[in-house]
Amino acid sequence: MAKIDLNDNSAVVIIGSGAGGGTLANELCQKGIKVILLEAGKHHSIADFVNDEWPSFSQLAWLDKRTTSGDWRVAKDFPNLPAWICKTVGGTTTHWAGASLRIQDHEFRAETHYGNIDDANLIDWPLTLKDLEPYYAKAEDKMGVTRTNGIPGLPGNNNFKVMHAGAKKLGYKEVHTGRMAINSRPRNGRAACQQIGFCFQGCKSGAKWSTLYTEIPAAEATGNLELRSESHVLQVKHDADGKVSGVLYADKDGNQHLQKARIVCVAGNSIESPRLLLNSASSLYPDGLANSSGQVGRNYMRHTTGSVYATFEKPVYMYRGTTMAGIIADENRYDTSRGFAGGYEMETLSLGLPFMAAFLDPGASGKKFSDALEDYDHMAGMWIVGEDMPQEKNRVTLHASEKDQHGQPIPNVHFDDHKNDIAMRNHAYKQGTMVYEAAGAKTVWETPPYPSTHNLGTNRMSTKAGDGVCNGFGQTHDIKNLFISDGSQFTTGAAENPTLTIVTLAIRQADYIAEQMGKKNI
Amino acid sequence: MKNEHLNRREFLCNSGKSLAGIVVASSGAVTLIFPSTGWSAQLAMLNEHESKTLLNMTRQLFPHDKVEDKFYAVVVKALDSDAAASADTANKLKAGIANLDNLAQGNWNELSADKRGAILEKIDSTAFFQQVRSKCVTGIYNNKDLWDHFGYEGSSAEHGGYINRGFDDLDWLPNPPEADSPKAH
Repeated sequence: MAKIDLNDNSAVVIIGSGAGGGTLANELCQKGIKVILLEAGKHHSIADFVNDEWPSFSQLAWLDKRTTSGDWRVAKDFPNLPAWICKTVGGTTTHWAGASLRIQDHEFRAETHYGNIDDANLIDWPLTLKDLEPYYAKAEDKMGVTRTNGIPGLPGNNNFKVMHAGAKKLGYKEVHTGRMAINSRPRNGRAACQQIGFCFQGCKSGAKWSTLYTEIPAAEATGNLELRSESHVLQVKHDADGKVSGVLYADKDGNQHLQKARIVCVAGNSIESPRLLLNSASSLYPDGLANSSGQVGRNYMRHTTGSVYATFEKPVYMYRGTTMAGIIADENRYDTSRGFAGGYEMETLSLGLPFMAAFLDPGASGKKFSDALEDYDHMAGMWIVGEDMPQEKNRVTLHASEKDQHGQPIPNVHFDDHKNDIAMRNHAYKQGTMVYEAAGAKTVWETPPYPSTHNLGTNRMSTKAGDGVCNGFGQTHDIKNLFISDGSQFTTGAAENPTLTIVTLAIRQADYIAEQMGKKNI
Repeated sequence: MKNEHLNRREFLCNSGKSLAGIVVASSGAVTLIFPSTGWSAQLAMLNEHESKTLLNMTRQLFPHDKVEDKFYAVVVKALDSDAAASADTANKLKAGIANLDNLAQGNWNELSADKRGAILEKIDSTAFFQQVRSKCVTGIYNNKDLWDHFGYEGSSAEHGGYINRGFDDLDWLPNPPEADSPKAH
């Protein structure tokens, strides 16, 4: 591993080691560019992961205090847990389920395709599917996505069998075990899936792609990477010309250091990334870095989600095997006859008994609830993931008074459901219920959204500088050596799970950064 | 990592509701700690009436007929520990229990199940109710000694996962075609 001096101003500093930051670090290092990768969380290994939901949550999740506001039910059920994302080397790629779907062509042109939707701050992405296709192909190969590159699909588990049977009875056509960044057979030094059933708790077999044991060690092997874990970035600093010049971070003992940099890439996920830019306000940039548009922190999206769980006369054991074991893709189309713009996916999901009790119907008690859990081993479940509308008022802001352990204002996450989101969720609940009733369900539960795992849009890409924070390469409109490298650059949410696109954008961004460095533009 | 620890605790306290705490009971210890009679004598803060009230309340909130009292007693013990750690918590618990008796115009425990339930519904937005409810969520469903009862098998990696242990053993619905669900490699 490289060792780069605090005063060395020649390296690229990347903040966050998840899908965006971890991938970008490796791509740059492979090109011979020196990188310092700062990660707020600890450096765990696969051996540290535990198949036990609460202890794993304590080990991997981002638990620093956050507050919430708005009419979303998460604010009521989990007022200090707006998001279920991770603070650990590898970021949320330790926790993600592995679904790897390309965003559809029309979804990149949401404003053009959906037209004017009241109260939605829709714009088109400054890039197209065609621009991304070669990079999607690289990402799928890198991650080993099933049903691409000749990689077979995964075998479906019991939970998938139930969803498949119901979906087919309803007439759904595209129902299969998905495109998953989980090895169906050994590949690239990683094992095949053992159907362990704890994808969310860190994959013990390493079959699921995570930057923790793919991109980051590959980057280290080049000799160009210095990974600093337990290094929590507090502010991005700039010089008199307004270019970024380094970052101020706190180490595990709370001691603060200033690391100089040639380029800074922010990849802390869609709550921490805008928070960091806002916390970096200075006399030159009084509203925060890269915020001349006022869009930093705005347009927060979290996908229109919900779950449907159902109990059956006979056993299912849904938790055995991959957590996200299959998909119904028929509803991801654009079809406003359903009463909303955008589409959604239905993907199997299971929770262990401890989390099922916490999430099935937060706040509930009584016989009906207990009876559902009494039938836990007879239960099947799916998650709904659909496109939500960007709204300016849905945003990450700095708390007026509360500070974190380093003295920095904590973030507040405000979210109000758009009427399009509600119409989509209700449609999806109805369809999910019909799927399970077609398979013979006894009872069906419409489970409200969990704390957000897909956090998007708070530093979005835009063609015009006034509409967003960065251009199509994630380069901020205001500061040419400051980049956004995570899902916060998403212009719109699309229906698909975002990780594949985050990785794809990171690969493309690395090419752009290397080219711009070569031309001495940055 | 003192700071981190404090922050985590603060998070858990502040997140309220169902994320309010990680449990208490270590696996296998339940029977040792809670023999069938006289367990309330081991409690630090709650008297016999209070512990009995909480025991009835936890069972009424999350009724599982075949789950023995000793498992509900684990939740009561955890609440007692919280009360021992915080005078404020102790006061709230004791006041909440006294309020149940007030609403019962006597001993809440001696009412019929329906009447007890009606009183619980009246107080279900109180901090007392939520404190007991959220402690049940972890105290009952995160108790490894009860997972077998619910058909949850827990940690699987050390057993090689379920690839050879029934991940696809459901036989009461048709198997999907191989194009949709390929065989394991």
